Amino acid sequence: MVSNTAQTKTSDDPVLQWVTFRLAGETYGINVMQVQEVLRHSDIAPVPGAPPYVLGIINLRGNVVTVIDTRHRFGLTSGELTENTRIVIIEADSHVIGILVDSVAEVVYLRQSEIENAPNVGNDESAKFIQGVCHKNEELLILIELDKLLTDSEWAEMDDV
Amino acid sequence: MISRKKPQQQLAYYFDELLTELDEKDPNFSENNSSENCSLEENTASQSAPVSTPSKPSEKKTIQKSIVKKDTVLTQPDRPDNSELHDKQKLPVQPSALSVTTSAALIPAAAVKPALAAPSSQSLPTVDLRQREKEKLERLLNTLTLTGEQQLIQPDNELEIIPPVDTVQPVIITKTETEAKTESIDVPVVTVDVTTVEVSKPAETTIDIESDVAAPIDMISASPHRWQPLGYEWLANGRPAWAETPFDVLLIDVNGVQLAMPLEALDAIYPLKGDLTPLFGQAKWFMGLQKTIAGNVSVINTAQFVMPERYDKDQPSQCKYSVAINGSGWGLAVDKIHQPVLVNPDDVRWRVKRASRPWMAGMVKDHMCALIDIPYLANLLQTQDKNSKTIDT
Repeated sequence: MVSNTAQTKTSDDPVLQWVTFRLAGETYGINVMQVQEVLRHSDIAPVPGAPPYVLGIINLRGNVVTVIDTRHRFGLTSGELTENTRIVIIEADSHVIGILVDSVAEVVYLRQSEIENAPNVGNDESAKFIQGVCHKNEELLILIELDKLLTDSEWAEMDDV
Repeated sequence: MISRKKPQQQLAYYFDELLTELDEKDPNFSENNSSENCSLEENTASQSAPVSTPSKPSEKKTIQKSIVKKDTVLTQPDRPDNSELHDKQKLPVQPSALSVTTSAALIPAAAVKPALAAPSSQSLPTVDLRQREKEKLERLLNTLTLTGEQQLIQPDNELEIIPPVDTVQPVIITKTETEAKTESIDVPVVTVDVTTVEVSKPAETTIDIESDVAAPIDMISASPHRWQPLGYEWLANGRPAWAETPFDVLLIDVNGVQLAMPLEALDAIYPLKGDLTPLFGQAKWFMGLQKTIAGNVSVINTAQFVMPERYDKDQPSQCKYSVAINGSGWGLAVDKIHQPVLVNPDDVRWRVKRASRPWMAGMVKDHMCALIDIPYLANLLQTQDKNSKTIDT
Protein backbone atom coordinates (compact mmCIF):
# COMPACT_ATOMS: atom_id res chain seq x y z
CA MET A 1 0.00 0.00 0.00
CA VAL A 2 2.82 2.40 0.84
CA SER A 3 5.46 0.98 -1.41
CA ASN A 4 7.36 4.20 -2.14
CA THR A 5 7.11 5.68 1.27
CA ALA A 6 10.38 6.68 2.90
CA GLN A 7 11.21 4.11 5.48
CA THR A 8 13.73 4.85 8.16
CA LYS A 9 13.36 1.49 9.82
CA THR A 10 13.10 -1.81 8.05
CA SER A 11 10.97 -3.73 10.48
CA ASP A 12 7.43 -4.88 10.75
CA ASP A 13 6.43 -1.40 11.82
CA PRO A 14 8.51 1.02 9.72
CA VAL A 15 8.68 4.72 10.44
CA LEU A 16 7.46 6.86 7.56
CA GLN A 17 8.16 10.51 6.81
CA TRP A 18 5.46 12.80 5.60
CA VAL A 19 5.47 16.43 4.48
CA THR A 20 2.43 18.14 5.89
CA PHE A 21 0.61 21.10 4.42
CA ARG A 22 -2.52 23.03 5.22
CA LEU A 23 -5.51 23.25 2.95
CA ALA A 24 -8.92 24.70 3.85
CA GLY A 25 -8.17 24.48 7.55
CA GLU A 26 -7.15 20.84 7.51
CA THR A 27 -3.73 19.25 7.61
CA TYR A 28 -2.66 16.86 4.91
CA GLY A 29 0.40 14.73 4.49
CA ILE A 30 2.26 13.50 1.44
CA ASN A 31 5.12 11.09 1.13
CA VAL A 32 8.39 12.95 1.58
CA MET A 33 10.06 10.81 -1.08
CA GLN A 34 7.71 12.20 -3.67
CA VAL A 35 8.42 15.83 -2.81
CA GLN A 36 11.14 17.43 -4.89
CA GLU A 37 11.00 21.00 -3.63
CA VAL A 38 8.72 23.68 -2.26
CA LEU A 39 8.39 27.01 -4.08
CA ARG A 40 6.89 30.29 -3.10
CA HIS A 41 3.87 31.29 -5.11
CA SER A 42 4.87 32.88 -8.38
CA ASP A 43 3.03 33.85 -11.48
CA ILE A 44 1.26 30.91 -13.00
CA ALA A 45 0.67 31.15 -16.70
CA PRO A 46 -2.85 29.97 -17.55
CA VAL A 47 -3.24 27.46 -20.32
CA PRO A 48 -6.26 27.80 -22.58
CA GLY A 49 -8.38 24.69 -22.85
CA ALA A 50 -6.76 23.01 -19.87
CA PRO A 51 -8.87 20.96 -17.43
CA PRO A 52 -10.54 22.98 -14.69
CA TYR A 53 -8.28 21.58 -11.99
CA VAL A 54 -5.19 22.88 -13.83
CA LEU A 55 -4.15 26.35 -12.77
CA GLY A 56 -1.45 26.76 -15.38
CA ILE A 57 2.25 26.25 -15.87
CA ILE A 58 5.44 27.64 -14.36
CA ASN A 59 9.02 27.69 -15.53
CA LEU A 60 11.17 25.78 -13.13
CA ARG A 61 14.80 26.22 -14.17
CA GLY A 62 13.95 25.78 -17.80
CA ASN A 63 11.41 23.03 -17.30
CA VAL A 64 7.69 23.57 -17.72
CA VAL A 65 5.75 22.29 -14.75
CA THR A 66 1.98 22.05 -14.60
CA VAL A 67 0.39 23.37 -11.40
CA ILE A 68 -2.84 21.80 -10.12
CA ASP A 69 -5.51 23.54 -8.08
CA THR A 70 -5.54 21.19 -5.12
CA ARG A 71 -8.63 22.71 -3.57
CA HIS A 72 -10.58 22.15 -6.75
CA ARG A 73 -9.23 18.64 -7.07
CA PHE A 74 -10.26 17.80 -3.54
CA GLY A 75 -13.71 19.30 -4.01
CA LEU A 76 -13.04 22.09 -1.55
CA THR A 77 -14.04 25.70 -1.80
CA SER A 78 -11.64 28.13 -3.41
CA GLY A 79 -9.26 30.09 -1.26
CA GLU A 80 -7.24 33.24 -1.48
CA LEU A 81 -3.55 33.43 -2.14
CA THR A 82 -1.51 34.48 0.89
CA GLU A 83 2.15 34.88 1.76
CA ASN A 84 2.13 31.31 3.00
CA THR A 85 0.84 29.89 -0.24
CA ARG A 86 3.28 27.41 -1.67
CA ILE A 87 3.72 25.30 -4.77
CA VAL A 88 4.92 21.84 -3.85
CA ILE A 89 6.75 20.16 -6.68
CA ILE A 90 6.03 16.45 -6.54
CA GLU A 91 6.79 13.43 -8.64
CA ALA A 92 3.97 10.97 -9.04
CA ASP A 93 3.37 8.30 -11.60
CA SER A 94 6.55 9.33 -13.42
CA HIS A 95 5.28 12.87 -13.83
CA VAL A 96 6.49 16.04 -12.20
CA ILE A 97 3.72 18.46 -11.29
CA GLY A 98 3.09 21.22 -8.81
CA ILE A 99 0.25 21.33 -6.31
CA LEU A 100 -0.94 24.60 -4.83
CA VAL A 101 -1.39 24.51 -1.05
CA ASP A 102 -2.25 27.10 1.57
CA SER A 103 0.99 26.50 3.49
CA VAL A 104 3.63 23.89 4.17
CA ALA A 105 3.96 22.87 7.78
CA GLU A 106 6.64 20.31 8.60
CA VAL A 107 7.95 16.79 8.13
CA VAL A 108 6.48 14.31 10.55
CA TYR A 109 7.48 10.75 11.38
CA LEU A 110 4.71 8.22 11.55
CA ARG A 111 4.79 4.55 12.22
CA GLN A 112 2.94 2.38 9.78
CA SER A 113 0.81 1.07 12.60
CA GLU A 114 -0.33 4.59 13.45
CA ILE A 115 -2.04 5.04 10.11
CA GLU A 116 -5.71 4.22 10.19
CA ASN A 117 -8.08 3.65 7.36
CA ALA A 118 -10.44 6.49 6.58
CA PRO A 119 -14.04 5.87 5.66
CA ASN A 120 -15.04 6.18 2.05
CA VAL A 121 -18.78 6.43 1.84
CA GLY A 122 -19.16 8.91 -0.99
CA ASN A 123 -19.48 8.63 -4.69
CA ASP A 124 -16.90 11.30 -5.34
CA GLU A 125 -13.74 10.06 -7.01
CA SER A 126 -11.65 12.33 -4.86
CA ALA A 127 -12.31 10.13 -1.85
CA LYS A 128 -9.84 7.61 -3.20
CA PHE A 129 -7.01 10.13 -2.81
CA ILE A 130 -7.09 9.59 0.90
CA GLN A 131 -4.65 6.90 1.89
CA GLY A 132 -5.42 7.06 5.58
CA VAL A 133 -5.58 9.24 8.63
CA CYS A 134 -3.37 9.59 11.65
CA HIS A 135 -3.49 11.59 14.84
CA LYS A 136 -0.48 13.81 15.24
CA ASN A 137 0.00 16.82 17.48
CA GLU A 138 -3.56 16.78 18.72
CA GLU A 139 -5.02 16.92 15.26
CA LEU A 140 -6.03 14.52 12.56
CA LEU A 141 -3.59 14.24 9.70
CA ILE A 142 -5.07 13.22 6.35
CA LEU A 143 -2.55 11.29 4.28
CA ILE A 144 -2.79 11.69 0.52
CA GLU A 145 -1.79 9.08 -2.01
CA LEU A 146 -0.39 11.20 -4.80
CA ASP A 147 -0.29 8.43 -7.37
CA LYS A 148 -4.09 8.42 -7.32
CA LEU A 149 -4.37 12.17 -7.54
CA LEU A 150 -5.03 11.84 -11.25
CA THR A 151 -6.23 9.03 -13.41
CA ASP A 152 -4.05 7.52 -16.09
CA SER A 153 -5.72 9.57 -18.79
CA GLU A 154 -5.36 12.70 -16.69
CA TRP A 155 -1.69 12.02 -16.15
CA ALA A 156 -1.23 11.63 -19.87
CA GLU A 157 -3.07 14.88 -20.39
CA MET A 158 -0.57 16.63 -18.12
CA ASP A 159 2.09 16.10 -20.74
CA ASP A 160 0.03 17.92 -23.35
CA VAL A 161 -0.77 20.95 -21.25
CA MET B 1 70.84 -24.43 41.69
CA ILE B 2 74.23 -23.52 43.00
CA SER B 3 76.93 -26.05 42.25
CA ARG B 4 78.60 -27.62 45.24
CA LYS B 5 81.98 -27.70 43.53
CA LYS B 6 82.51 -23.98 43.55
CA PRO B 7 82.99 -23.45 47.30
CA GLN B 8 85.01 -26.60 47.45
CA GLN B 9 87.23 -25.37 44.66
CA GLN B 10 87.50 -22.04 46.39
CA LEU B 11 88.47 -23.79 49.58
CA ALA B 12 91.01 -25.89 47.75
CA TYR B 13 92.43 -22.81 46.13
CA TYR B 14 93.03 -21.05 49.43
CA PHE B 15 94.38 -24.13 51.00
CA ASP B 16 96.71 -24.76 48.12
CA GLU B 17 97.90 -21.17 48.29
CA LEU B 18 98.61 -21.47 51.98
CA LEU B 19 100.53 -24.66 51.51
CA THR B 20 102.64 -23.00 48.85
CA GLU B 21 103.34 -20.08 51.12
CA LEU B 22 104.25 -22.31 54.02
CA ASP B 23 106.45 -24.45 51.82
CA GLU B 24 108.36 -21.39 50.85
CA LYS B 25 108.90 -20.46 54.50
CA ASP B 26 109.18 -23.94 55.94
CA PRO B 27 109.64 -26.89 53.59
CA ASN B 28 108.77 -29.34 56.43
CA PHE B 29 105.42 -27.78 57.02
CA SER B 30 103.62 -29.63 54.27
CA GLU B 31 104.76 -32.93 55.71
CA ASN B 32 103.61 -31.93 59.17
CA ASN B 33 100.56 -30.43 57.69
CA SER B 34 99.69 -33.65 55.96
CA SER B 35 99.67 -35.31 59.33
CA GLU B 36 97.56 -32.51 60.70
CA ASN B 37 95.28 -32.57 57.75
CA CYS B 38 92.85 -34.77 59.45
CA SER B 39 92.73 -32.48 62.46
CA LEU B 40 92.07 -29.23 60.62
CA GLU B 41 88.43 -29.44 61.24
CA GLU B 42 89.05 -30.48 64.77
CA ASN B 43 91.16 -27.38 65.32
CA THR B 44 88.50 -25.29 63.77
CA ALA B 45 85.98 -26.98 65.88
CA SER B 46 88.06 -26.48 68.99
CA GLN B 47 87.71 -22.73 68.71
CA SER B 48 84.01 -22.85 69.03
CA ALA B 49 83.75 -26.03 71.03
CA PRO B 50 83.31 -24.36 74.44
CA VAL B 51 80.46 -22.26 73.07
CA SER B 52 78.71 -25.08 71.38
CA THR B 53 75.78 -26.87 72.83
CA PRO B 54 74.82 -30.44 72.19
CA SER B 55 72.29 -30.90 69.47
CA LYS B 56 70.22 -33.71 68.18
CA PRO B 57 72.01 -36.85 66.97
CA SER B 58 70.48 -36.54 63.51
CA GLU B 59 71.95 -33.06 63.09
CA LYS B 60 75.32 -34.27 64.20
CA LYS B 61 75.36 -36.97 61.59
CA THR B 62 74.47 -34.51 58.90
CA ILE B 63 77.16 -32.06 59.87
CA GLN B 64 79.82 -34.70 60.24
CA LYS B 65 79.04 -36.00 56.79
CA SER B 66 79.47 -32.56 55.35
CA ILE B 67 82.83 -32.25 57.09
CA VAL B 68 84.03 -35.47 55.57
CA LYS B 69 83.02 -34.29 52.17
CA LYS B 70 84.80 -31.02 52.75
CA ASP B 71 88.03 -32.82 53.67
CA THR B 72 87.96 -34.87 50.58
CA VAL B 73 87.47 -31.76 48.55
CA LEU B 74 90.35 -30.08 50.23
CA THR B 75 92.69 -32.76 49.03
CA GLN B 76 91.73 -32.12 45.44
CA PRO B 77 94.40 -30.20 43.60
CA ASP B 78 91.98 -28.33 41.39
CA ARG B 79 92.56 -24.62 41.25
CA PRO B 80 89.72 -22.59 39.92
CA ASP B 81 90.06 -19.61 37.66
CA ASN B 82 90.04 -16.11 39.01
CA SER B 83 86.86 -15.44 37.15
CA GLU B 84 85.18 -18.22 39.03
CA LEU B 85 86.44 -16.82 42.26
CA HIS B 86 85.12 -13.46 41.36
CA ASP B 87 81.77 -15.00 40.67
CA LYS B 88 81.87 -16.92 43.88
CA GLN B 89 82.47 -13.78 45.90
CA LYS B 90 79.15 -12.60 44.65
CA LEU B 91 77.39 -15.55 46.09
CA PRO B 92 74.81 -14.51 48.57
CA VAL B 93 75.71 -15.07 52.16
CA GLN B 94 72.81 -15.55 54.43
CA PRO B 95 73.51 -14.54 58.00
CA SER B 96 71.12 -17.10 59.26
CA ALA B 97 73.02 -19.79 57.47
CA LEU B 98 76.37 -18.51 58.77
CA SER B 99 75.18 -18.55 62.29
CA VAL B 100 74.20 -22.15 61.82
CA THR B 101 77.36 -23.24 59.99
CA THR B 102 79.51 -23.51 63.04
CA SER B 103 79.19 -27.14 62.23
CA ALA B 104 82.27 -28.12 64.18
CA ALA B 105 80.72 -26.64 67.26
CA LEU B 106 78.24 -29.41 67.10
CA ILE B 107 80.97 -31.99 67.48
CA PRO B 108 81.05 -33.43 70.98
CA ALA B 109 83.74 -32.17 73.29
CA ALA B 110 85.24 -35.62 73.64
CA ALA B 111 86.14 -35.57 70.00
CA VAL B 112 87.68 -32.14 70.34
CA LYS B 113 89.98 -32.85 73.27
CA PRO B 114 92.56 -34.89 71.32
CA ALA B 115 92.68 -32.14 68.76
CA LEU B 116 93.52 -29.63 71.45
CA ALA B 117 96.37 -31.73 72.59
CA ALA B 118 97.89 -32.00 69.13
CA PRO B 119 98.93 -28.36 68.67
CA SER B 120 100.36 -28.23 72.14
CA SER B 121 102.69 -31.03 71.23
CA GLN B 122 104.43 -28.84 68.60
CA SER B 123 108.04 -27.78 69.32
CA LEU B 124 108.64 -24.28 70.73
CA PRO B 125 111.09 -22.86 68.11
CA THR B 126 108.54 -23.27 65.44
CA VAL B 127 105.69 -22.02 67.54
CA ASP B 128 106.10 -18.33 66.79
CA LEU B 129 106.45 -18.75 63.11
CA ARG B 130 104.06 -21.58 62.84
CA GLN B 131 101.72 -20.09 65.34
CA ARG B 132 101.31 -17.00 63.22
CA GLU B 133 101.04 -19.01 60.05
CA LYS B 134 98.71 -21.38 61.72
CA GLU B 135 96.54 -18.61 63.02
CA LYS B 136 96.49 -17.19 59.58
CA LEU B 137 95.72 -20.59 58.20
CA GLU B 138 93.04 -21.18 60.74
CA ARG B 139 91.55 -17.78 60.09
CA LEU B 140 91.49 -18.46 56.40
CA LEU B 141 90.28 -21.97 56.88
CA ASN B 142 87.65 -20.75 59.22
CA THR B 143 86.50 -18.30 56.64
CA LEU B 144 86.67 -20.94 53.95
CA THR B 145 84.97 -23.40 56.18
CA LEU B 146 82.20 -21.00 56.80
CA THR B 147 81.88 -20.28 53.10
CA GLY B 148 82.15 -23.89 52.13
CA GLU B 149 79.79 -25.11 54.73
CA GLN B 150 77.44 -22.40 53.84
CA GLN B 151 77.15 -23.90 50.41
CA LEU B 152 77.24 -27.42 51.73
CA ILE B 153 74.66 -26.83 54.33
CA GLN B 154 72.49 -24.64 52.21
CA PRO B 155 70.84 -27.52 50.37
CA ASP B 156 69.97 -29.09 53.70
CA ASN B 157 68.67 -25.83 55.05
CA GLU B 158 66.87 -24.77 51.92
CA LEU B 159 63.69 -26.26 53.17
CA GLU B 160 64.13 -24.46 56.45
CA ILE B 161 65.22 -21.05 55.25
CA ILE B 162 63.46 -20.51 51.98
CA PRO B 163 60.03 -21.58 53.06
CA PRO B 164 59.74 -18.80 55.60
CA VAL B 165 60.65 -16.36 52.84
CA ASP B 166 58.09 -17.93 50.60
CA THR B 167 55.54 -17.97 53.28
CA VAL B 168 56.07 -14.31 53.96
CA GLN B 169 55.20 -13.32 50.44
CA PRO B 170 51.97 -15.26 50.34
CA VAL B 171 51.06 -13.69 53.60
CA ILE B 172 51.37 -10.30 51.97
CA ILE B 173 49.40 -11.47 48.98
CA THR B 174 46.88 -13.01 51.22
CA LYS B 175 46.48 -9.74 53.01
CA THR B 176 46.01 -7.98 49.73
CA GLU B 177 43.45 -10.50 48.63
CA THR B 178 41.79 -10.26 51.93
CA GLU B 179 41.56 -6.50 51.59
CA ALA B 180 40.30 -6.85 48.02
CA LYS B 181 37.77 -9.38 49.11
CA THR B 182 36.76 -7.13 51.91
CA GLU B 183 36.27 -4.26 49.48
CA SER B 184 34.40 -6.40 47.01
CA ILE B 185 32.21 -7.64 49.77
CA ASP B 186 31.53 -4.16 51.02
CA VAL B 187 30.30 -2.96 47.62
CA PRO B 188 27.63 -5.63 47.21
CA VAL B 189 26.46 -4.95 50.68
CA VAL B 190 25.84 -1.32 49.74
CA THR B 191 24.31 -2.35 46.43
CA VAL B 192 21.97 -4.71 48.12
CA ASP B 193 20.76 -1.97 50.34
CA VAL B 194 20.24 0.41 47.42
CA THR B 195 18.57 -2.28 45.39
CA THR B 196 16.27 -3.05 48.18
CA VAL B 197 15.24 0.59 48.34
CA GLU B 198 14.80 0.84 44.59
CA VAL B 199 12.76 -2.30 44.42
CA SER B 200 10.52 -1.25 47.17
CA LYS B 201 9.71 2.10 45.55
CA PRO B 202 8.60 0.76 42.15
CA ALA B 203 6.50 -1.80 43.89
CA GLU B 204 4.65 0.97 45.64
CA THR B 205 4.53 3.07 42.47
CA THR B 206 3.14 0.19 40.46
CA ILE B 207 0.28 -0.17 42.82
CA ASP B 208 -0.52 3.50 42.48
CA ILE B 209 -0.29 3.37 38.69
CA GLU B 210 -2.56 0.41 38.52
CA SER B 211 -5.13 2.14 40.60
CA ASP B 212 -4.82 5.25 38.44
CA VAL B 213 -4.98 3.40 35.16
CA ALA B 214 -7.94 1.36 36.18
CA ALA B 215 -10.45 3.96 35.06
CA PRO B 216 -9.07 4.43 31.50
CA ILE B 217 -8.87 0.69 31.03
CA ASP B 218 -12.55 0.40 31.78
CA MET B 219 -13.31 3.10 29.28
CA ILE B 220 -11.20 1.44 26.62
CA SER B 221 -12.80 -1.89 27.23
CA ALA B 222 -16.10 -0.21 26.53
CA SER B 223 -14.91 0.93 23.11
CA PRO B 224 -17.13 0.18 20.15
CA HIS B 225 -14.26 -1.58 18.42
CA ARG B 226 -14.03 -4.21 21.12
CA TRP B 227 -17.69 -4.88 21.57
CA GLN B 228 -19.35 -7.30 19.29
CA PRO B 229 -22.17 -5.70 17.30
CA LEU B 230 -25.65 -7.03 17.69
CA GLY B 231 -26.99 -9.20 14.98
CA TYR B 232 -29.20 -7.36 12.49
CA GLU B 233 -31.15 -10.42 11.38
CA TRP B 234 -34.87 -10.50 11.82
CA LEU B 235 -36.62 -13.57 13.08
CA ALA B 236 -39.61 -15.37 11.66
CA ASN B 237 -41.93 -13.68 14.15
CA GLY B 238 -41.30 -10.39 12.41
CA ARG B 239 -39.03 -8.97 15.09
CA PRO B 240 -35.37 -8.35 15.18
CA ALA B 241 -33.20 -10.70 17.18
CA TRP B 242 -32.37 -8.02 19.75
CA ALA B 243 -36.07 -7.40 20.47
CA GLU B 244 -37.19 -10.81 21.69
CA THR B 245 -37.40 -9.63 25.25
CA PRO B 246 -38.12 -6.22 26.78
CA PHE B 247 -35.30 -3.86 25.93
CA ASP B 248 -34.13 -0.38 26.82
CA VAL B 249 -34.28 2.36 24.25
CA LEU B 250 -32.57 5.73 24.24
CA LEU B 251 -34.73 8.61 23.16
CA ILE B 252 -33.02 11.34 21.19
CA ASP B 253 -34.00 14.45 19.31
CA VAL B 254 -32.72 15.10 15.82
CA ASN B 255 -33.75 18.15 13.89
CA GLY B 256 -36.89 18.43 15.99
CA VAL B 257 -37.85 14.77 15.59
CA GLN B 258 -37.71 12.26 18.42
CA LEU B 259 -36.18 8.90 17.68
CA ALA B 260 -35.63 5.73 19.73
CA MET B 261 -32.52 3.61 19.62
CA PRO B 262 -31.99 0.25 21.31
CA LEU B 263 -29.62 0.95 24.16
CA GLU B 264 -27.91 -2.40 23.90
CA ALA B 265 -26.63 -1.51 20.43
CA LEU B 266 -25.00 1.72 21.56
CA ASP B 267 -21.56 2.21 22.95
CA ALA B 268 -20.81 5.66 24.26
CA ILE B 269 -21.90 9.27 24.01
CA TYR B 270 -19.30 11.89 23.08
CA PRO B 271 -19.90 15.61 23.07
CA LEU B 272 -19.37 17.43 19.79
CA LYS B 273 -17.19 20.48 20.30
CA GLY B 274 -16.27 21.24 16.73
CA ASP B 275 -13.48 18.69 16.83
CA LEU B 276 -14.66 16.88 13.73
CA THR B 277 -12.20 16.49 10.88
CA PRO B 278 -14.03 16.54 7.57
CA LEU B 279 -12.81 14.42 4.72
CA PHE B 280 -13.24 15.50 1.13
CA GLY B 281 -15.00 13.29 -1.37
CA GLN B 282 -17.39 11.81 1.17
CA ALA B 283 -21.18 11.62 1.17
CA LYS B 284 -23.04 14.74 2.27
CA TRP B 285 -24.30 13.14 5.46
CA PHE B 286 -20.72 12.36 6.52
CA MET B 287 -19.75 14.98 9.06
CA GLY B 288 -16.20 13.91 9.74
CA LEU B 289 -13.92 11.93 12.00
CA GLN B 290 -14.01 12.41 15.74
CA LYS B 291 -11.08 11.44 17.89
CA THR B 292 -12.20 9.57 20.99
CA ILE B 293 -10.53 7.48 23.63
CA ALA B 294 -11.72 4.42 21.75
CA GLY B 295 -10.34 5.59 18.42
CA ASN B 296 -11.73 7.45 15.46
CA VAL B 297 -15.46 7.60 15.15
CA SER B 298 -16.99 8.43 11.80
CA VAL B 299 -19.81 10.77 12.67
CA ILE B 300 -22.78 11.03 10.36
CA ASN B 301 -25.49 13.62 10.31
CA THR B 302 -28.39 11.54 11.55
CA ALA B 303 -31.06 13.92 10.36
CA GLN B 304 -29.60 14.20 6.88
CA PHE B 305 -29.14 10.45 6.66
CA VAL B 306 -32.50 9.36 8.07
CA MET B 307 -34.81 12.02 6.72
CA PRO B 308 -33.07 13.95 3.97
CA GLU B 309 -36.38 15.26 2.79
CA ARG B 310 -36.87 17.12 6.08
CA TYR B 311 -33.32 18.29 6.48
CA ASP B 312 -32.58 21.92 5.75
CA LYS B 313 -28.92 22.19 4.93
CA ASP B 314 -29.05 25.97 5.25
CA GLN B 315 -30.05 25.63 8.87
CA PRO B 316 -27.06 25.51 11.18
CA SER B 317 -26.48 22.15 12.81
CA GLN B 318 -27.72 21.77 16.37
CA CYS B 319 -25.88 18.53 16.99
CA LYS B 320 -24.26 18.45 20.43
CA TYR B 321 -23.49 14.77 20.88
CA SER B 322 -22.42 11.79 18.89
CA VAL B 323 -23.76 8.42 19.89
CA ALA B 324 -21.32 5.68 18.96
CA ILE B 325 -22.59 2.35 17.72
CA ASN B 326 -21.18 -0.84 19.14
CA GLY B 327 -18.41 -2.43 17.15
CA SER B 328 -18.78 -0.33 14.03
CA GLY B 329 -16.73 2.84 14.42
CA TRP B 330 -19.69 4.91 13.37
CA GLY B 331 -21.45 7.55 15.40
CA LEU B 332 -24.78 9.32 15.11
CA ALA B 333 -24.89 13.07 15.66
CA VAL B 334 -27.89 14.05 17.77
CA ASP B 335 -29.25 17.28 19.14
CA LYS B 336 -30.63 16.10 22.48
CA ILE B 337 -30.59 12.96 24.55
CA HIS B 338 -33.30 11.81 26.95
CA GLN B 339 -33.33 9.16 29.63
CA PRO B 340 -33.55 5.55 28.41
CA VAL B 341 -36.84 3.77 28.83
CA LEU B 342 -37.80 0.12 28.94
CA VAL B 343 -39.90 -1.00 26.03
CA ASN B 344 -41.86 -4.19 25.72
CA PRO B 345 -41.63 -5.78 22.27
CA ASP B 346 -45.38 -5.91 22.15
CA ASP B 347 -45.49 -2.14 22.55
CA VAL B 348 -43.77 -1.66 19.23
CA ARG B 349 -45.45 -1.72 15.88
CA TRP B 350 -42.92 -3.66 13.87
CA ARG B 351 -42.58 -3.02 10.20
CA VAL B 352 -43.44 -5.85 7.88
CA LYS B 353 -42.05 -4.62 4.59
CA ARG B 354 -38.78 -2.86 4.91
CA ALA B 355 -37.98 -2.31 1.27
CA SER B 356 -37.60 1.40 1.84
CA ARG B 357 -35.90 2.87 4.88
CA PRO B 358 -34.71 -0.53 6.00
CA TRP B 359 -32.98 1.08 9.00
CA MET B 360 -36.40 1.82 10.56
CA ALA B 361 -37.65 -1.06 12.73
CA GLY B 362 -41.03 0.27 13.74
CA MET B 363 -42.83 2.73 15.95
CA VAL B 364 -42.77 2.83 19.72
CA LYS B 365 -46.42 3.20 20.66
CA ASP B 366 -45.92 4.75 24.07
CA HIS B 367 -43.73 7.55 22.76
CA MET B 368 -44.94 7.69 19.18
CA CYS B 369 -41.49 7.80 17.79
CA ALA B 370 -39.61 5.83 15.19
CA LEU B 371 -37.45 2.98 16.44
CA ILE B 372 -34.14 2.90 14.61
CA ASP B 373 -32.69 -0.52 13.89
CA ILE B 374 -29.19 0.43 14.93
CA PRO B 375 -27.56 -2.95 14.16
CA TYR B 376 -28.97 -2.85 10.69
CA LEU B 377 -27.95 0.79 10.24
CA ALA B 378 -24.42 -0.01 11.31
CA ASN B 379 -24.27 -2.83 8.84
CA LEU B 380 -25.62 -0.54 6.13
CA LEU B 381 -22.94 2.05 6.81
CA GLN B 382 -20.32 -0.62 6.87
CA THR B 383 -21.33 -1.92 3.49
CA GLN B 384 -21.33 1.56 1.99
CA ASP B 385 -17.81 2.20 3.17
CA LYS B 386 -15.59 1.24 0.26
CA ASN B 387 -12.51 1.12 2.42
CA SER B 388 -14.29 -1.08 4.89
CA LYS B 389 -15.14 -3.46 2.08
CA THR B 390 -11.51 -3.55 1.11
CA ILE B 391 -10.57 -4.47 4.66
CA ASP B 392 -13.16 -7.23 4.83
CA THR B 393 -12.03 -8.82 1.60
